[in-house]
Amino acid sequence: MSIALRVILFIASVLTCTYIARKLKKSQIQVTDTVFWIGLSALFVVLSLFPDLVGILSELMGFQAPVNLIFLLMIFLLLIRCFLMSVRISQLEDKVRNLVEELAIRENGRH
Amino acid sequence: MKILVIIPAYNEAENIINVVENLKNNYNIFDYVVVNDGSNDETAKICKRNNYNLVDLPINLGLAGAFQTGMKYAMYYDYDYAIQYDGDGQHNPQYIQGMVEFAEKNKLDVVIGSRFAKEKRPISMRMIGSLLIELCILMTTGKKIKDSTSGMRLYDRKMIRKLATSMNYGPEPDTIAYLIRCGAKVEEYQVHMNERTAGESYLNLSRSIKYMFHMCSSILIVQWFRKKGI
Repeated sequence: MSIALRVILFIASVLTCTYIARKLKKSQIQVTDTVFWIGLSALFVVLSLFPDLVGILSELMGFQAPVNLIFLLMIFLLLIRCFLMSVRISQLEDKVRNLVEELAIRENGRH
Repeated sequence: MKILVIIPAYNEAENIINVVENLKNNYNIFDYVVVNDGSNDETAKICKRNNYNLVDLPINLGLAGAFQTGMKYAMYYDYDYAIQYDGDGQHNPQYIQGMVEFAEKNKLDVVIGSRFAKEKRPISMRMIGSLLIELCILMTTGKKIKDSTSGMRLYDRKMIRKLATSMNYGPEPDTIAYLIRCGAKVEEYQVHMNERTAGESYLNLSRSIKYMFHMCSSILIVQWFRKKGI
């Protein structure tokens, strides 16, 4: 990993961490939802501080450059996250639909 | 026997009076419920003014949500059969009794009010779409459903419970295909339908293509991943 990439990774990760912490402080996000993001940015801080970790791993797995491993990891984690969000949106929509239906039936008042 | 006619209505101010009055005056053996799906027009107001039995959704949920509301209503008030019935005057109530008797006699779970059960289907763009869905259903279930897109469907008590409480059971052909695969008994009953008297059809070309794509992929692919059971 080049020095430039390490610096960028480090700065971006630290900034992400502080941004999430601020959102949490202002109660704009639930604690359980921040765990993933804090974990992710912490992971990238660690990777930027100890690039050898990536170097060894990428050599073991046969990557041409360590940076490829970083990208692959990021893309994979984001895809998983994206899918989990789809699941949550579906569930939310289902809940809203059920709420609306129940509300309307109760208001009909044929009891 | 208690039978509920579920009339989902989205912007049907021009048609709803005719539809409901016809039911009330000529077929009062059936109960009915109008589900107003958050219409922008006077649908809800007209129903309230005429004292119709109305369930008024505060927001627009789409046909699936409006229909499911009707199913929940049928479940809570313990109906034996519920029939999905268009609010635009396309369906004729004279066939309801026949559909119910047909279901009773053959112990069916779903009866589809079909335009082509006995009669030949005309050739048009829309019918090509219908044929394609028929083919998809035939391939996955081995059963011929000639008018799967018909909006007039009768459901028994077991189906009411299922459709009222589960996700992914919208009133569409893919649900029919899935129910057949789950072992539900589905048959068609010949009916006649009217042309729309007023208002505009929801389906234009791009929506139709999207609809077809959605239905075919749902019938051919997605249902293999779904858990089976009624």
